[in-house]
Amino acid sequence: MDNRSQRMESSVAAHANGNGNGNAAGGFVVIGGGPAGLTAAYELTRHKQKPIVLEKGRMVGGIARTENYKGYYFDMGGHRFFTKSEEVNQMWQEVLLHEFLKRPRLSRIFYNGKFFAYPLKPINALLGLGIVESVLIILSYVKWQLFPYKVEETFEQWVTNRFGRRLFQTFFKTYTEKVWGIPCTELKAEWAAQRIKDLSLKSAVLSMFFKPKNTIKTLIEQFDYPRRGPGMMWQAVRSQVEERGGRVRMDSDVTAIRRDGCRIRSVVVGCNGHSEEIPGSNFITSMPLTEFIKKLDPPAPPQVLEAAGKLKYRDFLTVCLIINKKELFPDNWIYIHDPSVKVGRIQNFKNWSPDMVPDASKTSLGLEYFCNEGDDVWTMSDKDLVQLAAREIDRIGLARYEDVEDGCVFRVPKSYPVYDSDYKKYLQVLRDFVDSLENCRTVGRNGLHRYNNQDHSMLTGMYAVRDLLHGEKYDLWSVNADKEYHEEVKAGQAPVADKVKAPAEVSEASPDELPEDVLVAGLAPVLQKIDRLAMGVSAGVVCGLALMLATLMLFLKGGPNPGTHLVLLQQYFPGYRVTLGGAALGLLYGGVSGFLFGWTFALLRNIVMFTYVGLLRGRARLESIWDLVEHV
Amino acid sequence: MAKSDKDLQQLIESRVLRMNAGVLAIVAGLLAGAALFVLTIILVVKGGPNPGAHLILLSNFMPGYAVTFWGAVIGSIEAMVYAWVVVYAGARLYNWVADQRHGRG
Repeated sequence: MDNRSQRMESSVAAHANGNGNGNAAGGFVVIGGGPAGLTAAYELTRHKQKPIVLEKGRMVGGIARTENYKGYYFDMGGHRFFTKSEEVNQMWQEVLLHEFLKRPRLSRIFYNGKFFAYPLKPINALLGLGIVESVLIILSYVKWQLFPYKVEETFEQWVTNRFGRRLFQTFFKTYTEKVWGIPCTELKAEWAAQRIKDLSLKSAVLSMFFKPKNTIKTLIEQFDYPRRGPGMMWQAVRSQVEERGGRVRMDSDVTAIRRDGCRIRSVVVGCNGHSEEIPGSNFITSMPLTEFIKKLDPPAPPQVLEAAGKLKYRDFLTVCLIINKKELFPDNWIYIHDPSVKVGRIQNFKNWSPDMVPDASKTSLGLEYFCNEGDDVWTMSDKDLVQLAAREIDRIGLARYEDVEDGCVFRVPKSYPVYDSDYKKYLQVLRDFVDSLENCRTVGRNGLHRYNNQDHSMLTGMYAVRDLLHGEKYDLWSVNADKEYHEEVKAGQAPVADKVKAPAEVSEASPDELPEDVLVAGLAPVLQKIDRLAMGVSAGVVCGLALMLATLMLFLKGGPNPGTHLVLLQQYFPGYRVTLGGAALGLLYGGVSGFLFGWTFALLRNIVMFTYVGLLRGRARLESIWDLVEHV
Repeated sequence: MAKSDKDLQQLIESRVLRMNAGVLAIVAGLLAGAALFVLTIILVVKGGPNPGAHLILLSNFMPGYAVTFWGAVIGSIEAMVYAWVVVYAGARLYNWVADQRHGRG
């Protein structure tokens, strides 16, 4: 028997005896030490389990990790800690109660040499774009509201239908293609629909009456942030998992996943040149879904392997610059829409947390370049990338080239799953296969090939644990911490209805919020149009009868000069008298006048309401523009 | 768009308003009664040789109304009733016409 086999055997024996790794045969194995995997491990330890977490990299956090260079902390991508999920929020508070800072939020867009403010301010946008361009954008918007694409299949169509083609081409096209590396005609519309909160007429109408209790995520003016970045959170989770008997192993690359039919039996882990097999009873994996499929032993069916080869990712790298300036700009981050530079986004880590920067006289920036593993940008040397970043930050005007003291590069492969034109059908093939595995759940952004945020990924970890431990069924493929998901779940509209459970704890509803159907029924009359003819007829009948009856009452009362004041109406109603005939005329005149009054009232009211609703929609549209920018 | 937004959108675009006759009538009645009471009391407090020379004409339609305190009380009750009847009838008539034109709401 060779040395490698002997080492493997002794490792298996050690694991079988529960010796040293806390994971006896029959335990939980978690692949991936990012938000989803670590949250799953944390949840498992809360249920008295002792999982083993296998992380490929040298630090926890996954694509939400925080790197360190000479004492400067760099958040890979910028991760705000804001969630609508009470459960996630509770976990954050449990783990890092006193280490959160409340940070003000400021982010802008840099385009065409100008900065565009957040929230989008009409005057600022007008001055930035210019009057001619602004008018063209408005005209284009109107045109596309009147004649939209009937079917929205691509991102381009989705955006055009909502904002007009001009705004799409001016503002979003180049940036989106910079981020994704593919034409917008190849990005699916549903990615936008998933990520971007569409304008909510209900919210806009509610704002007429109530100060909103629940703020739209992109409009929050401050957020929580760990002092030293999200990595601080994940380090703390790791510590707690280990304190409770779990184990988190770094530099542990899962090279094979052994199965017996629909049950995963063990994983093979490469670490420091050695291989070992780790058995388990249940498995939770956040590794990229494509890798998971490819590492199965025996292999997955050919069509599944083929589908795994078709899913794509977008990668990015961040060039971290240390600038010899105490302050540069007030933003937490800036989107660089401008096509004249390659950088897509710039983070100012000092504005995220002053503790990210050890020397208060300096500033650290993260210039994010969206690319694909192996392309020109990815394969540039670190030195060349730092030079490129320094030149570009100077060109944008945020810092001077001469002030750049030092820099380093961090690469983040498989940061974003790509929703291109075919991804859905390939993902369905993988999903059907993965769902057939009895003791394994895939979680997280990459495990589900779903562009989740950190809190969504955490939720998938929690739900996977509850599923495997207690049989509670959740549709992990649809998890989203926003309320709309849960509305759909409660209504039974989720894709896999028989597997869906509405997670009752995830709710943003305040105690006195009305049920949706009551709200809709109550709101609708506020905005519905008044039928002009009906209003005219009812007002005419009422006025006519009132004048007729008043005339008759005075006439019947009699007296020397009945109705001396009412008869003054003849100045407006020729022939009117306080007589029987006058009463009949009064009916006619009152009817006509009343009809005109009622009809005109309804017309004016409808015009004003239509205009007001249009303004509400416009305001909601502006909010959704920013939501689009945030999530591209 | 959330389901409730779709429902709201559909209700706004496809349907016309129906009035809640009871609510409108109550509001109109209260307003009319309160208005007549206040207007009358102002004149009573203002006093003078012939207070409310024009307002008193309402007594042609409201037996018992006078520009006095108790007259104001009686008048406000009658005004409430008149307004309630008129607005209720008007709103029901509006709803009926709207139903004829657009089907039952």
